[in-house]
Amino acid sequence: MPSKTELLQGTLDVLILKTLANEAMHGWGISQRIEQLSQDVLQVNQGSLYPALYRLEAKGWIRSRWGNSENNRRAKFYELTRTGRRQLAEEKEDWERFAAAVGRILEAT
Amino acid sequence: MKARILAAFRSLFRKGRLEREMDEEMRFHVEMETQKQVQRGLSPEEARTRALRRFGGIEKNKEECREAGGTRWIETLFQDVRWALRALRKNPAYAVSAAVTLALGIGANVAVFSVVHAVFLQSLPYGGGERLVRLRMDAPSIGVEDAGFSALEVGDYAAQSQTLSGVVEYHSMSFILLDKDPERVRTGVVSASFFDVMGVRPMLGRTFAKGEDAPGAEPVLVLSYNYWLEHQGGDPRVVGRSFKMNDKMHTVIGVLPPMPQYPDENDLYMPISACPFRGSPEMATHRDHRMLTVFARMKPEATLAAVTRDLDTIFGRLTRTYADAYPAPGVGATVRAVSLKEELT
Repeated sequence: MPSKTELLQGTLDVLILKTLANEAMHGWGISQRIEQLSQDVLQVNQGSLYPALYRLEAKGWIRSRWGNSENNRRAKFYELTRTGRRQLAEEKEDWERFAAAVGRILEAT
Repeated sequence: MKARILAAFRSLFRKGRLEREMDEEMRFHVEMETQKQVQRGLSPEEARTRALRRFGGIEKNKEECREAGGTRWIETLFQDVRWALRALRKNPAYAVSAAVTLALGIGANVAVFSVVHAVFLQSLPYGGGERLVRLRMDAPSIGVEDAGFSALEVGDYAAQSQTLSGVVEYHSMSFILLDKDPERVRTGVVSASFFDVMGVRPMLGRTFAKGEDAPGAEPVLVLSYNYWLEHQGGDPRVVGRSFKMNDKMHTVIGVLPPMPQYPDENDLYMPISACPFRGSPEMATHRDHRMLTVFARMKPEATLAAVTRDLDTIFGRLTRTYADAYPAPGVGATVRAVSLKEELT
C-alpha cells in the first residue's frame, strides 16, 4: 500500500486557509476535514498543524477565539480574516497555474 | 507591524495564560484523536498512546508553536537590554558621551522633520477630501478589528444610506499580466465610480464609466503613474492597448497622475466585474465572505455624527434580517465611518 502523501509547509498553509473559508473550526476539526476532503490521500502531520496555525495567526491571516466544541468541551476555534481570504484567492490561483504547467509538461510526448 | 509589536508585549504579560491555553488546546486535540481511535476499536490506553504518538509529543509541539508565534524576540530583546544596562553602569564615562551624542542627533532629526511635515504633508491630494470616509466593522470583544465587508453588504449600505453618497468598494490583489513577459501586478479592484468619489482625475484618457463594473462588462484598466512610467515606457499610446490578464483581454483606458495612492500602491486598477475572484458567484452570494474596503462621500448636509447614526440603523436592520451572518447582539459589533483625513494624517 503506497504511503500517504505528507504535506509540505506551504501547502498545509493554503489548505488550512481553504478549510476555514466557509466556517470556523478548531485544530482537530481542520485536520479531520483535510483528510476527509482529500479522500484520505493527504495525511496531516499533526506535529506541523499547530505550529502552522500559530504562524498563520501571527501573519494575521486567521484569528482565534475560544468556544464550545460539538461535544460541549472548550476548544480554540480559528477563522479566516479579510487578508487571509485575499491570500487564499491569490494562492489558489498560483497553485492552479502551477499544477496546470506541471501537467502540461508531464503530458508532452 | 504595530499589531505584531503589541501582540509581543501582550504575550510577555500573559505568558502564564497563553501557556495554559496552548496546553488546553493541545490536550483537546489529543483527546479527540484518542476518542477516534477508541471508535476504531482500540482500548483506551492503546488509543491514547497512538494519539500521542501521532501528535508527536505535546512539549515539542508547544515549543514549535512558541517559536511560530513570532513573539519570542521580545523576551530576547528585554534580556539584551538588561545586559546592556549592566555594561553601561560599569562604564559611566562612555554612557554619558553616548547619551549626549544621541540627544544631539535626535534633536536635529526632529527639527528637520517638523519643517517637512509643516510644508509638505498638510492636505490630502484628493478633491474634497474632507468629506471622504471609510467604513469599518468591529467587534472587539471577539477580537474582530476592521473586518471588511462582503459584496452584499456594500450593496446594502449604498442602497439604504441617507447620509452617504457614492459608496464604493475597493480591494487589492496581485495578478499576472502578459506583456512581452508575464509580470506580477498589484491591482486595485474598484467600483466604477471609485475615482470620482475619491476626487481623482486621470492624467491621460479616462477613468471607469458608470456600468463598467457590471457583470459581463468589457474588462478595462487604469494604470498608475509609476507603473506607466516604469513598465510602459511612459508611452501615451498605451491608452487603447490591450493586455491579457486572467484569461481575458483588458483594454487600457487611462493613466493616473503622479500621486501617493491609498490604501495601497497599486500598479493598476480594474473594475470589480473584471476580477475573477470578486466576480465569482461565491463572493456575490455569501454575506459573510468579507474582504472589501468601503469608502464613501458624506452628503453636503451630513455630519459625522449623523452618518454614525445612519450606519447604526442600517447595521441593526441587517443583523436582524440576516442574523446568521452576524455576531450575536450581545457581542457589541458596530459599523462606523472614519474620516479619511483623520486616518491619513
